[in-house]
Amino acid sequence: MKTFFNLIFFLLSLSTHANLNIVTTATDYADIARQIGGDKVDVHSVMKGPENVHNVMAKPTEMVFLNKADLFVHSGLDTEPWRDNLLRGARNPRVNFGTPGWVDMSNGIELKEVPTGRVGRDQGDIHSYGNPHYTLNPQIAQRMAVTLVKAMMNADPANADLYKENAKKFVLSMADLSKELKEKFKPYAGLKVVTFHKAWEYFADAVPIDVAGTIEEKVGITPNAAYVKQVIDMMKQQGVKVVICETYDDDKLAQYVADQAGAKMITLPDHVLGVPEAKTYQDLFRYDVDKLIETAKAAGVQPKDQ
Amino acid sequence: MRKIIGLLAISFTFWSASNALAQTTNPDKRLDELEKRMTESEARHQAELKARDERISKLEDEIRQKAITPKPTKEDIDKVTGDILKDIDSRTTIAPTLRVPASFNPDFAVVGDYHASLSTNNQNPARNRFDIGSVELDLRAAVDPRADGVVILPISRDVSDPLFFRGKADADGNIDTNIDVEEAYIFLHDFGVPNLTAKLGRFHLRFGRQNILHSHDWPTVDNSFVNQSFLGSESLNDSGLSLSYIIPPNLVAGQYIEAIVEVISGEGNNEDGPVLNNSAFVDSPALNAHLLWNHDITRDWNLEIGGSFLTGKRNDDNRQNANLYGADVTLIHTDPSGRFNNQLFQAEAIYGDIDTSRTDTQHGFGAYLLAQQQLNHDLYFGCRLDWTKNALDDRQEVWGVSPYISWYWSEFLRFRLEYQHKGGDVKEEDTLFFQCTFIYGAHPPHPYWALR
Repeated sequence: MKTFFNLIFFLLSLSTHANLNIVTTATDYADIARQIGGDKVDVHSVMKGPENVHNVMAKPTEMVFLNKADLFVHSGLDTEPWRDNLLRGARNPRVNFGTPGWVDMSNGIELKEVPTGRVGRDQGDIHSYGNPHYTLNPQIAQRMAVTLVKAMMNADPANADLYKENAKKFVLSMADLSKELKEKFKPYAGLKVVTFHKAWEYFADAVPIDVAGTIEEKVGITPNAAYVKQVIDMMKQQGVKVVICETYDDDKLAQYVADQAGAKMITLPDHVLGVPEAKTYQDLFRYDVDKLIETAKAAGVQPKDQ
Repeated sequence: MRKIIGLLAISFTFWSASNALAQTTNPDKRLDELEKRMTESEARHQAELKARDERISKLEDEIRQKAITPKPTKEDIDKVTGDILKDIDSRTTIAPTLRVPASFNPDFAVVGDYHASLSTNNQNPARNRFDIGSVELDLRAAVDPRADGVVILPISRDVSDPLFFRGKADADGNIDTNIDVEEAYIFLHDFGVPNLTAKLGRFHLRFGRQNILHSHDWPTVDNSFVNQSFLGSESLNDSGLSLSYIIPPNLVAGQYIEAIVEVISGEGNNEDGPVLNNSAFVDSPALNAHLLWNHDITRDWNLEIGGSFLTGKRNDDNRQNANLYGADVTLIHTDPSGRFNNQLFQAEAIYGDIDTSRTDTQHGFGAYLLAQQQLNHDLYFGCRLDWTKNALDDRQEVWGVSPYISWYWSEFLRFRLEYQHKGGDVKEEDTLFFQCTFIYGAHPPHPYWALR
């Protein structure tokens, strides 16, 4: 009988030690949450990594995870147009807009390319808040860690000290990473690149590349042949030797542009798990920088004297 | 005297000449001075331009330097890191960043749907014509923290296009321009009962998979034959209450199971409703139920299976019944590389027990199968196979093959070309459809399986 009560007590104690449930839209937020929460959190990302964050399929099975979530972590911008469908389907009032469970990671982040004046669809799939690809910068990740750790501490005060300590470690590791990337990329500082999508503007603040142009003329719209020719001509004129294509964009077109301009094309992930090697935030940046340097070398870009 | 006059004349002549000479000398001098001043001015101007060019060039260099030089120095990184560490220790919460001014206007979108067709069926007035089929006004907004309002008002130019068209007698060819209330409901998403939501008003019935879609969200130009036969040319809408409940996942091993129960007037779509076209009186309500299970077979394969049941009265005769039974399956494969090579397979079947008089009951059946391949970000290719009995006369049947290609020029502008061969107990026809769908305004996201 005593064993039976012990078993019941054990099972009850298990149920009272449920982890903090965190659902994120993107893999980047999921990785930060895991690094801060450790084994005290269960984290699920709706996005899996390689896909375009704007076109993620918000299936009902994702709603199962959000239904029991304590925190819903997202970009706060119009990056995830599918977010509202997911939220409405999940029926979890704890994570609705305006609740502590609604975690807007754009808080405190200065956005680039905020539209001024008239905004319309003639500008393509324009982001009305500004460029939303802010996750591609370790220093911005530091700010995101603050937003997330505050929400985690509020939702799970029992583990607040652990979260705080881990958040500090994450912030320091991002500082180290920023310095490491700058140092590593020094010989290629100012490397001119053309990207497919306007996803690398924040990255260019952390790793000194010069984004000379994009293959997409208007955001999210497949370019026409005349514009592609303009990009190729511009690359020839400016001596651009590297084309970056995101994992989800048209690599055949990117390859064509690179071939015509005498450049090299590289497919790079812009999110954690965009490629299997980019398992963490730190891995993502190291992977991208290593591949960029490799590609620059292969394209015959001479390193600068140090 | 003559001498005096002569002297005066000589003096005058001399004065005049000297004066004239002086006059010719001074302009040259002035011109020289002017030229000198102009030369100096031009030199000064050139120098200024040169200085300005140098300054512009310098500024351009600075801007370029700014762009290519990493903004934060190591000291900056340490400073920001220090500030952030302080933020973590601080007790203050982070104020949300206001991105746009608040607005209480509803999201407003206009959906235009342009149709054209070229067909071997010259008798059907709905073929071999081009027109703007409908313009839909879509308004939606939060009513309060617990409820959203949705109103869909299509303005359509319809020409009757019966599925079982056999001759001119089946369609009059009149263009019927009208504005309709396709949907108008309040959506209660948080009224205190966990996992339960409700719609109150007029809405698309949750019968099967495609009936809940607006026509511009269909993967094909026209509605599936089975839905046209049993539910209506576009969709079955009605007024009433719709309750949707997700069974708590922890009770069903983490599965997504949704149950929908709808109590509706039974009026259907008035004269367009083949099955439900009763009065809207409370003595003859209809009941619709839908149960669906959605499951990830693997990370990239998703399966949805649904079952539907609709029961109601017909033709203002509370002694004639209509019972519909539906089944639907949707299978999606998402491209694991993230590059849009997605596949969709969808099938729906409906069986009906429909009283067409107090003594006759029709036992109709029909189904469709749809397969679609997304070729890249913008292009989709698919084919729909249809076969169905006439819901109101089970001796008649129609079948069709409809391959199509859809091209999204952008997110909100789509062109579609569809070929359709139609046969069975109808006038056989081969038709080429063209469709252009455009949306402007704040349109909500498409359903997840539209792969868009």
